[in-house]
Amino acid sequence: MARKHGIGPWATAEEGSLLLAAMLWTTDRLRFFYVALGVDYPALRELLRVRVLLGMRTSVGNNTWGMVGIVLAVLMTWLTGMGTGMIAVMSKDASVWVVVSQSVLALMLALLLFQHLAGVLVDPTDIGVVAPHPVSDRTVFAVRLSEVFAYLLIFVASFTAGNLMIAVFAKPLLPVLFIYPLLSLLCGVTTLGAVTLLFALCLRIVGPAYFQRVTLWVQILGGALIFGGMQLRNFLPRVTWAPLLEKYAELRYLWPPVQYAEIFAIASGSGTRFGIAIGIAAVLLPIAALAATLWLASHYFVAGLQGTLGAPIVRSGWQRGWIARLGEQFTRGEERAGFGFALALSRREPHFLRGVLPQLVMFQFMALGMGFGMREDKGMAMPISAGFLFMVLPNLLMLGQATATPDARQLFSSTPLESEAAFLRGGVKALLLQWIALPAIGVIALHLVVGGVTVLPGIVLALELSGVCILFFTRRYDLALPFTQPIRLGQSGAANFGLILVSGLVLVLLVAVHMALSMNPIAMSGGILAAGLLLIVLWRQLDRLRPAPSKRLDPTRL
Amino acid sequence: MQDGSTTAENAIELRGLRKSYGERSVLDGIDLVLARGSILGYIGPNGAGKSTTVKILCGLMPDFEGEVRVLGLDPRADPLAVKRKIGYVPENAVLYELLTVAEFLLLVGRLHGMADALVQRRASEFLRVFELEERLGARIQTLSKGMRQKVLLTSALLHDPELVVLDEPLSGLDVNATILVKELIRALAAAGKTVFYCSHVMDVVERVCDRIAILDGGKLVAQGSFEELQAARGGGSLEQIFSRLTSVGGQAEAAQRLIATLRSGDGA
Repeated sequence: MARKHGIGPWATAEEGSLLLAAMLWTTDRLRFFYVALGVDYPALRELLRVRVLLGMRTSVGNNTWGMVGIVLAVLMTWLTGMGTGMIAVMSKDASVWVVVSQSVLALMLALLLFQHLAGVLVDPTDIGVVAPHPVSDRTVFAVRLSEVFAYLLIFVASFTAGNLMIAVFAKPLLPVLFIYPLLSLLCGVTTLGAVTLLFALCLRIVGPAYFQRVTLWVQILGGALIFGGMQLRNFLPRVTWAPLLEKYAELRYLWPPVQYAEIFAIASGSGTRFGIAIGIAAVLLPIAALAATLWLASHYFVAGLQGTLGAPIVRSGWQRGWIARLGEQFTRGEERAGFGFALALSRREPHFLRGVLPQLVMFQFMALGMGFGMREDKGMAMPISAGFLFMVLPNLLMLGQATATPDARQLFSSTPLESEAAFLRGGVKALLLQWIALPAIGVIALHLVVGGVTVLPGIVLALELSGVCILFFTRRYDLALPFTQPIRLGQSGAANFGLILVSGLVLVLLVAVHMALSMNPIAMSGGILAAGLLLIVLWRQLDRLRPAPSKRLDPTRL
Repeated sequence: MQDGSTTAENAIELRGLRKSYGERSVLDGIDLVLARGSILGYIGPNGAGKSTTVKILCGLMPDFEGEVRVLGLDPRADPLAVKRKIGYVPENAVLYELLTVAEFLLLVGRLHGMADALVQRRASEFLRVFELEERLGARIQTLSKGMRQKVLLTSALLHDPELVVLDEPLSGLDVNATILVKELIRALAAAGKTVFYCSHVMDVVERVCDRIAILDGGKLVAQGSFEELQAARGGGSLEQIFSRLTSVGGQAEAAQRLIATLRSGDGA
């Protein structure tokens, strides 16, 4: 399958690129493992080459700010690595550093998998091309697995580099330089194996027809557990934990980072026979998980990718839901068309659902976990919970511009669309009502159930403040007509990227303002009134929303 | 095409084929046998179940009831073996828009385990005949619908399949290309290949196919050669026979009703 560099039209321009070459070189080194796992290696290599090639042509290469986003994410991972690396300096026991840092890495990678990379694993966009050809389900799955692992490796490498920069000064040099990176790699493979095993199990349990839907829920629940799971301990009776942990201390070895600490100890010359056994188990565990995953995914994976994701349509005919009817009350003409269009697609576009829904649930889970876990001040949950709705906004607006079928925008050239701005306004209003206002009602209900009716003013104020931020920022994004652009990695654009960075600071500000106003009932009442009025003003100002000049529909390009 | 024994002499054997999406039945007990080297026109109104049948034959849809044999193989048990032996042109084709024609054809050839040199030789000849050779280095996104269809046809035939499944292959093709593809279908059959041809273009089906199967509401309502269908269904063109079998009739009145609806004004 190795390809000679041709000349003329049969040659691929990017064939000599470093990224593609590195990817294929690494894949070739792993050929033995792929073959041993029953993968059709030549087909895998070719499909992987094409996916990388397409990625290079669609995303980063055409989008400088997309690249900046990725570089910043890697930089932040590196800084996190340096943070955990400090433990190596502060703790005499190297195992504490290894366990904590590898635990952080595992959770970070799991979150990355659930929130972003799961979409790559179950991406249906190109399966129509591959499905008619003789490529096994196992091979198609292995291609996705390899692609996801390549992304993970970038983060593993930057996190490990951050740790090494600090730990070399505090711990034995050789194990730090040569064993710790291997442990990080092991951690990456183990996390990937665990998460993908879940997906493969779903395929076997629910079958191909429901695979896409069920994996979306796995994504949501997995992310929610990681975000909010740490907070669950606040709800558990604390006194009973210590003796339990002491009694079943050996159970800690089930957590892979503890196993890695044993391997590091062996490399540092302080290992035990028990540690060697644990080390062997740590190495075998991910291999077994990946082998099981590939075996489970060997049937109907391709059929599973072709399944539908959107919510089942329960209504029939012209009957509309209450959000659609609400939208009809305050939209007219092309704005109403945009509203209905965006509302329907936002409930069915796979990339949108996989990007927005898990984030929405994860953030709320974390906010509620954090807030209600704080026994002294449950009020903290309200601004955090409301503020996290604001944090969903960038993803909501960015993903709400893209579609798996961008060519369908030809519709807008064949119909007499007079005002792109009106259509955009309708679309944005639909996104805000469906994905911000509706969850906000859920947030209110949840806070009332947990905190009682006395928390009502606090949560109303928090949601109003969050709403003000959402409406203020919405007008400042560079937006295209909803669901008309091709799906691209990191497609936020220059202006939007700055706004996304600022959003984090605004969240802190929002919590502070809420706390300040909550101190006095009169201040709170005034705050509710003022924020309410501001909300109305900003909602009306949405009428000034216009598509970004660079993103307007160009009939010559349709 | 009538009751044939279950042997690899037949290219396609369907017995009691059923497929449902939840409560909705799409195929309701299809029985069909197609000998090797023949051309079957598989026609039916929209939603009759043609594309579902095609997906099952091509090993793309594993969850169905009944017995299916394609070139002696079970597409549910061994979809890969089936895919190696068939060439498929789907009705709604998905292509890698950002690949060039050459890159796409190399990909398909490699997935079939073909040597690059063989892919290049065959594809170049196909594209030359299709008058598309100069677009070999062009990205697929820049091609017209007809050009894409030619690329698809090329990719479906590259590996010299025993069974060719064509779902509306003439879509978007110009007159000359249409004539060429019709000749190609005949030539494929003459070379011993089997062609499973789905289309709504009745006169092409009438002229090109040895056998015709008419599907309506998930059931086969007629099958045989065109002459057999004429004899059994009171003569006329295939379009007339098809309309008698699958339509409630009154198309002219229906068209008038639509015009009347447009003229009725906006009561809202």
